[in-house]
Amino acid sequence: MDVMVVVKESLHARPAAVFVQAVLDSGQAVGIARPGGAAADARSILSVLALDIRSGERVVLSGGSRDVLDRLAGVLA
Amino acid sequence: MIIEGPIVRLRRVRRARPLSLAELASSLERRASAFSGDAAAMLRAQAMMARDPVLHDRLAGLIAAGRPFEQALAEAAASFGVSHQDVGELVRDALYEPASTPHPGYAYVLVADSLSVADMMRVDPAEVLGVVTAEGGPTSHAAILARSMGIPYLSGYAVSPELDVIRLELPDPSPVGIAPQRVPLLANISSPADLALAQQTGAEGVGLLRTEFYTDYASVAAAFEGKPIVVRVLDSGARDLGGRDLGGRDLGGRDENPLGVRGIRYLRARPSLLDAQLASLSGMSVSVMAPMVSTVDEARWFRARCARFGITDVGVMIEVPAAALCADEILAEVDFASIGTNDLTQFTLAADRQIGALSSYQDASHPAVLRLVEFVADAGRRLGKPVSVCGEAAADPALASVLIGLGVTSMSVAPAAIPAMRRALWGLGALGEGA
Repeated sequence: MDVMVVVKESLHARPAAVFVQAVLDSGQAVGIARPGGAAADARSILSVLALDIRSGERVVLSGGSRDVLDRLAGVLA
Repeated sequence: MIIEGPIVRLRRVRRARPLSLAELASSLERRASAFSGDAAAMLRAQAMMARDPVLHDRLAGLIAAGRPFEQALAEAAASFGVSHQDVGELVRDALYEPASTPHPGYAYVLVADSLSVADMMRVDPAEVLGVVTAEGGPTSHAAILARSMGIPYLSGYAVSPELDVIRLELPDPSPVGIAPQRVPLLANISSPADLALAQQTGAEGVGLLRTEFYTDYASVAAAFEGKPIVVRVLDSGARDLGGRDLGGRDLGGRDENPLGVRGIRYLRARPSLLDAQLASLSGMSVSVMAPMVSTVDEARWFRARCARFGITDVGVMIEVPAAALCADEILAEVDFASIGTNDLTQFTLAADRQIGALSSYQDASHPAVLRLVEFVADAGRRLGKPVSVCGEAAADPALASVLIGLGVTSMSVAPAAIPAMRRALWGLGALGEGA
């Protein structure tokens, strides 16, 4: 199950923390990647920051249930 | 704005035992709870990094491979390729601590190569005139924290080690003002965390103590000794009475009805509640005000009730248009008024503020609301009585400048809004010395 989303706000420390907290709250192992790129563990804020995702970029969320991925996409959109 | 004073330098020493990531994380989380807004979000983000599961795995792997802790931590942090200040701060705070917490007993300018959040948390905002660091920028964590503490922060300047005293001229409007203000900036307090933050951000008093949520009067009085403290007596509704007054009469209305038995109406139905509260405030140097007053008679009744307990500085909230339009008569009965713009707006525009579909009506800058504010401020000026504002409108810097222009004599806002407000008021020249 993959969900693609256009990121509204660049994933700097504070927005990334909000996203990672939502992942942690879901209790599921979720990956985040650029389309076609290697997935990073979305429970790891440092791994998410290392992707350096900027506002307007597309990312793919993977690994979780449909509900959880949709909710997380909502956090990023 | 000029910052001038003796220099105190921050020195660091290596810890006898490095802190673990878990220890760092819990200490950051503890600190976060004392802050709100940007500062709290940033501390939480940093705590999250200290708890990062991938960082922990890599650290454990490097230690298992025989690396000493210090080297393993530095390598694990660097492995993310994130040139992120948080990671560097974590590593440094794990290994080093300030040589001593600087409390020289006089006001000083803090000088350091760089400052972490932990360093910034140790200083007493009352003692620090300003901070100068060689590294870091205006968006560094320590700078964000300094702003929320009301401390001017200048980065990118190495201070010669020979200097003992420094004089800095900061551009105006200054990033943060520390001068006394012509329009005092007070804090709305609903919790111990609010109280702590209000002290850190340099609130000049308490403009609204919400006693529905927080009644530790002694702590508030101790924290703001010698400064104005305005206690609003219980602001509650008919629901809490089980819908009936002492005589068993139905008080009517649905739960939380904004037009129902609330505020002073509720207290008149249950005067023993008010008396108990006034008794516990008796003898403290605080001002007391009543919520949701709409008639002269209510103001007079409240003043008389307070007098029984020797409480002499008595005011009313102006939240109801009827009270605003009778401001002269009501202010003649009491010592001060505080305008609650949230309720005043909902009543003036006849739009329940709990109803999301009506949120566009909850606009305190509506001309009708501003005319009422001006009307009350004029009455205060005529009678020589202070008129403050303690609603959300006071925390909107643009609207606050309008309110001050209309003649409001003090503002009370959420503690987290104080630094931004102070900057805005500084720009207006509404602050003291620089004005």
